Amino acid sequence: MERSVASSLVALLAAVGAAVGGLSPSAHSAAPEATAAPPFVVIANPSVPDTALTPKELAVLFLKKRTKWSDGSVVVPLDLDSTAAARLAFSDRILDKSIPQIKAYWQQRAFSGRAVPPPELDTENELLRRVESSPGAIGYVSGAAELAAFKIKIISIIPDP
Amino acid sequence: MIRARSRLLLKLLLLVASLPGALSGTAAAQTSEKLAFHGYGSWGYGRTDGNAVSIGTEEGSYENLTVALSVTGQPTERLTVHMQPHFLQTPTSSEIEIDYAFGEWAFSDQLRFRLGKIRHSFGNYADVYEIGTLRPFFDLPTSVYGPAGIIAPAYTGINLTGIILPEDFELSYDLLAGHMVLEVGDGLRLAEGLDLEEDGDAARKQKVRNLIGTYLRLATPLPGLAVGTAAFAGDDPYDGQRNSTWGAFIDYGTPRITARLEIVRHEKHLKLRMNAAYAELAYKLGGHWELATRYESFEASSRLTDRTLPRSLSEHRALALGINYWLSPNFVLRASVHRIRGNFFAFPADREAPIEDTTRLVVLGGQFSF
Repeated sequence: MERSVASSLVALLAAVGAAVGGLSPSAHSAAPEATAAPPFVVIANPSVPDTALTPKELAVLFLKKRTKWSDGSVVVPLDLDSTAAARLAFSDRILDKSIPQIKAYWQQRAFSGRAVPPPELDTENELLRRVESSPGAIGYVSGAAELAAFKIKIISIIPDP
Repeated sequence: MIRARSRLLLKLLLLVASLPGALSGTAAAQTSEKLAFHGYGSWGYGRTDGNAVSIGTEEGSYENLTVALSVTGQPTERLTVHMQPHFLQTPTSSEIEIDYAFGEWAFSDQLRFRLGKIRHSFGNYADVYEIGTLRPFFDLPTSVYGPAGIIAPAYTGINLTGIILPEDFELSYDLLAGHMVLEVGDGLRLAEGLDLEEDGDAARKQKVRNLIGTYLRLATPLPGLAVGTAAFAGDDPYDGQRNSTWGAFIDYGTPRITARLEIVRHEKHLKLRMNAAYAELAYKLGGHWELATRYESFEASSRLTDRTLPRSLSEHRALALGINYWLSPNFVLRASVHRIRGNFFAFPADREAPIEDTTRLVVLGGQFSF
């Protein structure tokens, strides 16, 4: 019985690790058996000083609990529309919240006068253009999005320590 | 009167809307990116079997409407201006009020300074007092947030606030000083020995001066679990003695379950002690339906030896069951039934009528926010 619980926990941890690790484009290319595009890719304006962030660091930035990059410039998080598949995956895996929970979080922040939610862009192209043109911007698009035409950088997702 | 105040509020809104451009000198398109608009509203019908309580009356009350618009402008990187006027209609009055209007200067994420009329962070709900989409029932727990003269959703003064992120935890804090106006119902006025007829409606607002307070909220590593505490003290409006309030709360939320618990103690110097608490639980069935239940308790005890309140006039115990249908996370339709024992918050609308110590209340309504 104990062994079965232990093996279940190991399997669960492995699945979580694979899910988090699988979000990174580099992790994606390192896994030869994974051929499908990742559910989302995190992108940023080239001015952003960081190149790799943990899920926890990303959550802190997108929930506006930290508003400055390591060089002191302002973080400008950008969201996709709440029905976008990449938004659902990002909220679930990085923010660890469902879309209704995220909506409630921002309602609480906005109506208590603490912060307003990031702008929601209707399409991935709009988001890519905004990230390209806004210093300090960070966002995400689906793994299948065409990125080559935009002057942006890809942020690798590294495991939390 | 209301029309004149509406014009004033419109001017203030336009002023807030123009601030980013005026202060930063940026173009209109950029200015619009630095403005955010939000709003909320609710309408409800309440009917009881006798006493008036919450939004319910014996005849049935339709006039329970609130609509508000909040504007946030960020003219510079460090300065943010917030303002939220609302329109409120009740069976006895209509009013337009400012929920809050304040400026904030961000030294860092850990230290922000605010001044103006500021949201009062206390417990689970004080800083989102009117936002119906952030709770499982149409109204907030009366025991803690009702007209007992314990908590006001805003105060006028100064505030230091911030967020600290130690490993795996998240600590939010507020330090406040200023003045606030408490809403006072018949129960408290009786407990304080006021004459309901002679003192009139003017006594329904009590000003607490020289207010100081603090608020701490700790989000734990367990996803969705936060605990907190808050306290404040201020001068009693009648005798100038210090009154104090202390509370603690727990907030737990998952995509399906919301559970909240809060206890509050209020001491009116040498006169009155009030203990209030509630526990509420909501469970989402699929994407739209939600079941909710709440139990709350309130007790006032007079500390004057020559003034002992009848038991029913000093207590409030309520059990509520509700069902909600969420059209979206921004719009909810609600139905709930409540059984209330005690008369601290439940009085007959006609003061000559006999007081029943048990009240049944039905509430139907809808609430939205964006």
